[in-house]
Amino acid sequence: MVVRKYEDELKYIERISDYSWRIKKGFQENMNVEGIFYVNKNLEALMFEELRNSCRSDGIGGFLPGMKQIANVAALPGIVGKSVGLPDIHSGYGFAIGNMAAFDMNNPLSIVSPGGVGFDINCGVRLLRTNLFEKDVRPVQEQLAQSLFDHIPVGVGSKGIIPMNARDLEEALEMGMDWSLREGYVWAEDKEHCEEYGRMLNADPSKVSVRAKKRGLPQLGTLGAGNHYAEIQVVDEIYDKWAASKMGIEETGQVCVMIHSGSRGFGHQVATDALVEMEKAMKRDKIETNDRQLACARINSEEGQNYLKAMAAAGNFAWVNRSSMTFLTRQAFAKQFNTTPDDLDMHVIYDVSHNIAKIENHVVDGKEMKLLVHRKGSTRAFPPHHPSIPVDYQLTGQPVLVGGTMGTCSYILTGTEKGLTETFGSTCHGAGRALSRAKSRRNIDYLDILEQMKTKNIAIRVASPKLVMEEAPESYKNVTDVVDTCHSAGISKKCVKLRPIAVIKG
Amino acid sequence: MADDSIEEVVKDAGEVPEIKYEYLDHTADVQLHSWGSNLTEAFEQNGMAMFGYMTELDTVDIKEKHEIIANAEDLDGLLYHFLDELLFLFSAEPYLICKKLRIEEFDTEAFKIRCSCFGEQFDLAKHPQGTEVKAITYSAMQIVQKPEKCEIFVIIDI
Amino acid sequence: MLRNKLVSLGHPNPEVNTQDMKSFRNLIVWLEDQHIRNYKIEDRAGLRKITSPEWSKAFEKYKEDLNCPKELKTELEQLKWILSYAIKLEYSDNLDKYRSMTSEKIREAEKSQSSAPSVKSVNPFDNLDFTSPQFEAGVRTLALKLNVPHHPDHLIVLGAISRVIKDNLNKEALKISIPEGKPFPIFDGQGMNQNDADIETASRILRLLQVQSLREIQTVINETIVECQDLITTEPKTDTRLGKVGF
Repeated sequence: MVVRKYEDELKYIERISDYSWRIKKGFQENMNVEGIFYVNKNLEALMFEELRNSCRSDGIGGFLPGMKQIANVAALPGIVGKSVGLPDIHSGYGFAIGNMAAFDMNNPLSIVSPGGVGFDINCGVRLLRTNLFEKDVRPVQEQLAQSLFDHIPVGVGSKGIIPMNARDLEEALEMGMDWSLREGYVWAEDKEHCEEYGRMLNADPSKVSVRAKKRGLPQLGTLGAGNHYAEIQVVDEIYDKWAASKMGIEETGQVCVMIHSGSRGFGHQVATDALVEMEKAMKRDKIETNDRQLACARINSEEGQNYLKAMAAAGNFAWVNRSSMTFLTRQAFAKQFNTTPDDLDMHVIYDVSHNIAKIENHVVDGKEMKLLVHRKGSTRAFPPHHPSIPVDYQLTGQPVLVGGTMGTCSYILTGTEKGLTETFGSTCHGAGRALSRAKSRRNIDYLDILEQMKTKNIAIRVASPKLVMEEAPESYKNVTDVVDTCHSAGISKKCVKLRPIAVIKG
Repeated sequence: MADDSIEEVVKDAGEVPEIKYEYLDHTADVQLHSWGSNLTEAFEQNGMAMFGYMTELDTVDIKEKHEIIANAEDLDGLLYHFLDELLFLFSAEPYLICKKLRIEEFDTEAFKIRCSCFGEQFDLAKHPQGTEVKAITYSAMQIVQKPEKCEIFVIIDI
Repeated sequence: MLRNKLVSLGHPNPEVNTQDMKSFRNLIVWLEDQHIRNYKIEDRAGLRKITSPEWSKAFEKYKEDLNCPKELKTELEQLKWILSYAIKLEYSDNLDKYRSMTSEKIREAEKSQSSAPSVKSVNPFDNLDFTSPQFEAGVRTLALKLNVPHHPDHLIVLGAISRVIKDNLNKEALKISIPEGKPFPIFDGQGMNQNDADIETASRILRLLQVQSLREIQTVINETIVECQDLITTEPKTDTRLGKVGF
């Protein structure tokens, strides 16, 4: 790693606009392309402070700052365009969380990196709408929160309550949401409103270790812990009335349910297994990277192909997982209101994946290219008329679901043409951590947070008190800053703001 | 192992050692820092640190004993696989949460560990939920060996 | 001709499609039942089983019994012969009634009173001259009223008018209120990169129509999936013994 003084580092960082900065080649060694990151004034301060701190520690220490990680990704073989940092970027394993990068599928040297996807493969957000309004839900807010908590298994060591055996799992891995559909856990319309229609066709369960399957089986249909949650939210503000109405959101006060979860231990193990395999492949193929964490393999190598097939299986696992929780949520609501999910109009508005690598066609320098797009902590945001988005959103652009943190707002954005050209159709995914977990535990009092939730009139059910502190809004960047940056930079467009009234967490 | 009575397992486990680990700062994840008079103790303590993040170890009783074996090509890899095996012990059958680890065999030439794991099946009714560990990482992994003291730093992804 | 013969025999549906196997066979049965009566009622069973694979055999025998000439190869030719045969029987059975009916007398009768002969068409359009200038002018006026674009051939315009009326002015369609608010801004947003403005407009319209037809396909797919779900596969269930919730 290049070690310089902070003042010298700044020479490589150049402002492009009010909302974006360029990272010039040379900031790290071997950069094939430039880096870019999107921040507003508030987020900018955090980014530069992180860089300054890392200069002080002489490059020794726990982690690299986000800017350095963007630059290291820019040095990977086969990368095209730019290495892009989204406003919610923060330091992560290998790739920063909030980093996207695309690799040319036709370049034999191009790589695929599990670090560019993350451990929680196909972690994502699903939003269900209802025809209920805040006034319908407020009187039963606590009961409804408890009912959701009683239906969805959450937290460390929790097990799913949907009966599954090893053969069911194999089928689910191959079929994704088609499995859920076949078994009757979801509605036919749900599938339409998922990225990839809830199924990656290249999934191959035979490329997945027995260990991953053993970890996955008991956890299917569980929410997990960490930053995962299920929230009852109400529409707080509508910015784009027309697009919102296409999503079935008509007025402020309308009640929605947001589910944020991923592929659980299954995906974590698939990623772990792939990292071990790729360490060997890197030595064999003499792939040089700036950071050992950026373990990767050539896309066309056996390891690369195996990873993509196993990753797709984990992607399918995540869709089945979110679908199972959709089923449980519908049950909870139907019981509470003594009616059917149909009558509550509990349709899936959309389901996004924010930890995934996908093969997509993009126009680069006027030429159409087939790319492997890594999005880690970054959401696909395709513009109107893009062939990969559902027919219902052909005119509005793809809905982008941006989850907040415990007690803060969430947003629905839509994809834009500018986003497609500037960031390969990618935008932010959430708030992004600002404080470390340990620091959160030290500085934030559990009871204060609960008091804060009470003041905001938010019902909360949480499996682990420690988590409340780690996941407190203060530990994260301000999601409104993040979303406003994406909107102002034009890489996606604000559509709806949602505020929570009940939170279920691990 | 499963045939052993609880009394036998408890007797076999012996004393639960004092805590020689702590949790350090990292933006998104957690760094486990453990130490001991030798490599074996530092390894054992690091494993305990990981379990300590998942629940309150005070609530765990020793009822079962399971054995794990980890193999690798270097010492870092051995630590990684040692922790990965322990995580797997928790994540699938027998869903074991450990109160004590005892490394029976530590081969620093062939990089092999055989370890006895004492604890009980994780039970939501009994054990408070801590944080879920997604994976072990090589990120900033350090194994510092000095004659009088060994220290280990590992970042776990959560 | 076929139609006129059927009208004169008093067939309830003279427009019957004789290409359709079922209709054809029904027609044969009807002719035997109502007019020819070559068989006793109980002997007509073979002909009446129109869905039976044995029907063709019965039909062969029937033709033989009627002495239908073997040279007639196609079913249509055979049908025409059987029809004529039925008319001949009808005529000879009521010789007195029909003998006096010459074409002159009929024409006179038509003039003196409106007791139309049974051949007279009930469809008023049959008597229209579609090529007359008045007709064309009428079509053009209607097109103007309904905003149907101009085409040199007024019959094509008429086709378009028919579609507009059938699709947009039927009872169901008229129940749907006209959507309020702004129309979709078709000229905003990403275009189709056509240099010619008209082609660009047309492409944008086609793109919208494509979205609509995709929606229709998707809906049919969903309905099919739901039917399959109901038929065979689904039994969603949960088992709380497997895991613990709500502690």
